[in-house]
Amino acid sequence: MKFMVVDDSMVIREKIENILKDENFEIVGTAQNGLEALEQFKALKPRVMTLDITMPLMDGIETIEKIMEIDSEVRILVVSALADKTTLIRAMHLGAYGFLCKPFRDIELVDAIEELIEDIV
Amino acid sequence: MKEKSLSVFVDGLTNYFDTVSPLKAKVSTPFLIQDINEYLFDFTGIIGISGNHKGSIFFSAPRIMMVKLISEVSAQTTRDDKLLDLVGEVSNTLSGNARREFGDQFMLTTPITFMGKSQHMRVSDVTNIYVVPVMWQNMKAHLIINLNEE
Amino acid sequence: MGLERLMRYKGLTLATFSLVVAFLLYLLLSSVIQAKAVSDTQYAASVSHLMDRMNSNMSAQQAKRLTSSLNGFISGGVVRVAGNDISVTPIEKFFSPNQSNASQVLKLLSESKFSEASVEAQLLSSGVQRQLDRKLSLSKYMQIAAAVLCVMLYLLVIVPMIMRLSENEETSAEVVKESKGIMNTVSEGLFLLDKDQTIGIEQSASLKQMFKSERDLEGDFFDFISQYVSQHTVQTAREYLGLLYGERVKEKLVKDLNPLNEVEINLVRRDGSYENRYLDFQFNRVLEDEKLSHILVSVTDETKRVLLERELEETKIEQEAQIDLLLSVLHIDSKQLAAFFETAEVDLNEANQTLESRGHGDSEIRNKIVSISRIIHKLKGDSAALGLHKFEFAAHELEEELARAKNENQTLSGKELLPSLTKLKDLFSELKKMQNMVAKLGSHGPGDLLTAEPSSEQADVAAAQTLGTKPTGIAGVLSDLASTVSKRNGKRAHLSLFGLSESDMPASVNDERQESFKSIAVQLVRNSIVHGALAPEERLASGKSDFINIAASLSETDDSHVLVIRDDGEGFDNKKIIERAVALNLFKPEQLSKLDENNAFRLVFHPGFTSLEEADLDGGRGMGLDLVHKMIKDMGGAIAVQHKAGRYCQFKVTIPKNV
Repeated sequence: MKFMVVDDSMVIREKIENILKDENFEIVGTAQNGLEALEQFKALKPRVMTLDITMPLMDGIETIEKIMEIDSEVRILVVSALADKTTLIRAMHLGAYGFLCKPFRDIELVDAIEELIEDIV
Repeated sequence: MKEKSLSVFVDGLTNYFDTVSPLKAKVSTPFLIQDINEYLFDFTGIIGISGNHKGSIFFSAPRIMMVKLISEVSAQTTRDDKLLDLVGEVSNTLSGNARREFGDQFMLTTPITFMGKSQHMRVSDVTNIYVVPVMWQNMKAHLIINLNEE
Repeated sequence: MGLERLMRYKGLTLATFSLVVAFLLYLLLSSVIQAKAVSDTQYAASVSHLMDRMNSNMSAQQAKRLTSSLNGFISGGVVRVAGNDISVTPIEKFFSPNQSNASQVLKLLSESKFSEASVEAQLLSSGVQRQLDRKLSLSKYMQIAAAVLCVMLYLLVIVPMIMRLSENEETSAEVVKESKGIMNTVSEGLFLLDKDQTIGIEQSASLKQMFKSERDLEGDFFDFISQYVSQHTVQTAREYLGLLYGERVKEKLVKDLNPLNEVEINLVRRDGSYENRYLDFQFNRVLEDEKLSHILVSVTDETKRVLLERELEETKIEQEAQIDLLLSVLHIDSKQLAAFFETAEVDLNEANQTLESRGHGDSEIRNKIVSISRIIHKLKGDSAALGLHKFEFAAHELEEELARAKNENQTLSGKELLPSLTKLKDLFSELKKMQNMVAKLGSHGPGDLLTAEPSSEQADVAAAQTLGTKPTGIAGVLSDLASTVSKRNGKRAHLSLFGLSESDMPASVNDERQESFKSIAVQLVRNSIVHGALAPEERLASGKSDFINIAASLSETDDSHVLVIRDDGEGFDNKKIIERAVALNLFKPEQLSKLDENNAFRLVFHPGFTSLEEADLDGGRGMGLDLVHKMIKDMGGAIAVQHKAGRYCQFKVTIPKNV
């Protein structure tokens, strides 16, 4: 199953990547903002994506909207430190499947991902 | 914020008098107290506050003032139930006014009214309860603002 | 209406019904058998009638014999009588064992040649009779069998069915009872929301308690909660529930977005104030055939936990504020402090009474402002003199507010004094806090504190020690310092001071020199605590008291002032000092090799030397001893160091009286 990691923080990107690789998930791409994410998304067609909300150039909310137009089946997990529940709920209404709050422990990410794809593996 | 919240209630009260009567209400110099009961008149309405600030707001007025006020608002009467009703109405107006000003920051209860003193009143160990005397036609009512220390 | 009763009623009906069915079944079966028997009888009757007619041509014996034979025939055949012609068809069926005989009988009948047939009929009769007997008993048996069958059917099928049913009935009654028990006792508030977000009827009893409601909750969930929480929260909750109803998101992965977890609910009390409760609403999808049917809402009362958390947080903040306050109060002589509290209280009350006094005209208000300003100004001066900076600052702010109000050009009303009033309130609160603090300390009695041994109850002995001493002079400063530094570094310290307070200081120490000694002593005492003292438990482990003892004395000889600071700390670790000096690039190793290891501690006076890895407020910038050294040199003095690793360390500073 193809995974993609989108976050403007390199540290977080690498952290997520490493955790997922350890769990033998296939990371096909990483992006540091919504624009990059969109471009890569079209080419790589991942099935699962972790996505930050506050990012430069194109934020997570807009990214979800755009991605849903391309493939509404993709499983998006919002991974963000944002505390504004209204915005996060909006992200869910737009098509994300769940939310994981930063900072998170490794096991929390793994659990969240497993929950996210539980019915498609 | 504190001063602002105080003046919102004070303005609410003076506005009320100004709306129902041609004679303006005047705010006298406010002071601090410890025991609310000592500053209650014959008729009192209380609104509870919670949210960013917690506590309660009292509007308390002597009978003579309420009698005068009711003749301005509706008809001449000295009946207790009518006067209590009016004191509730004044408190309600205060509450509504504050709600408009503060929006979600404050939660306000619907007023509770009573006559005379109340045994439920808090006596503070610090002199920190505000009393704002409001003068109207040479009579005095008290706006008592009791906000918990945050 | 009890579900149980309904079920019992239903069961009863069913039992009756099944009995009726069994009975009907029996009736049906037996009537079929009966009908056969009846038609047999009818047939026999018509044959007998035929016989009667034939009798005229037959001998009585023959007829009788034939009749008895024919009587044995079972129904199913049709007897036709036309004149003397009789035909019986298809009687063979019943005679299959004696087919030929039967046709003979037929023949015999149709031809009415009874006399000739009599022998055959005679022969036949015994066989037929046997058949007939068998047939008849069969019919009887069938009837009995039918009855038995019905009874068995009833016993085997219907009775167990009823038993199972009533068992079910009992089980469901049990289930109802159990779930009722659960709903009555569970501490969570439980209820279901249907797809229209309407609150379900089944609710746990604790819900009423939580919402101080006499009745069950009802109606639209959002209408219900909007009584208690802000519109914004209601809206967010609506959107959140929308997610769950939407079935796309993963329930577990959106739990954090629930806006109604730990939500503050406001319940109205008798006196109009609110009672705050913190409730946690959790929402879970209830699926039926993999389709969402309801949302289960479980509410828990988190008030205790939340309040405890807040209390802890507040206590922490309060404690920090108290320590600040303690430090400011401890500088002051207790009598002076008591006197200040008294006047401050009188002054503040006077200011407040001025406000309360009659007069709400512009000029009256301005007069009030003037007299209050005068009082506050005086208070500000008093508090400043005692070093009560927080109080002084609050007084200053009130003064400013009063001045601002006074400078308003418009006609003043009481409203313009509201900001001043909040500042006056701050002053009242500040005074109260100080009074409470001193009341707490006072229970020990200032005199006791002077000689008190360090104890775990006292946050800091070094600080408390000076409460009864003169706060001025170097002694006060050192006590203060020891308190702050030891607390900050997790150490404990006990100071013994001689010749350092104003009362016992050598008279020849002038102000300038006092300042110098103060600076030196501050650096050395600080070093003792930061570098010399181990953590209390480590000290205990090495057989020492858990607090470091620091003795500081200032004395004079004929021509010099001598400051000695001695502690029972760890002394210098020469090896470490050398390593550190190399690490800090202060010296090259070859330079250091010249140093006698026992003299290595002299390096600590070198600029930039520090034994701490990181700089903080109390040490680690490498300025302390370097500064001390320089000051002593500037005054033409000398510093001597004695130490024993792990035992003690002593600095002796000698400065000539006349430089």
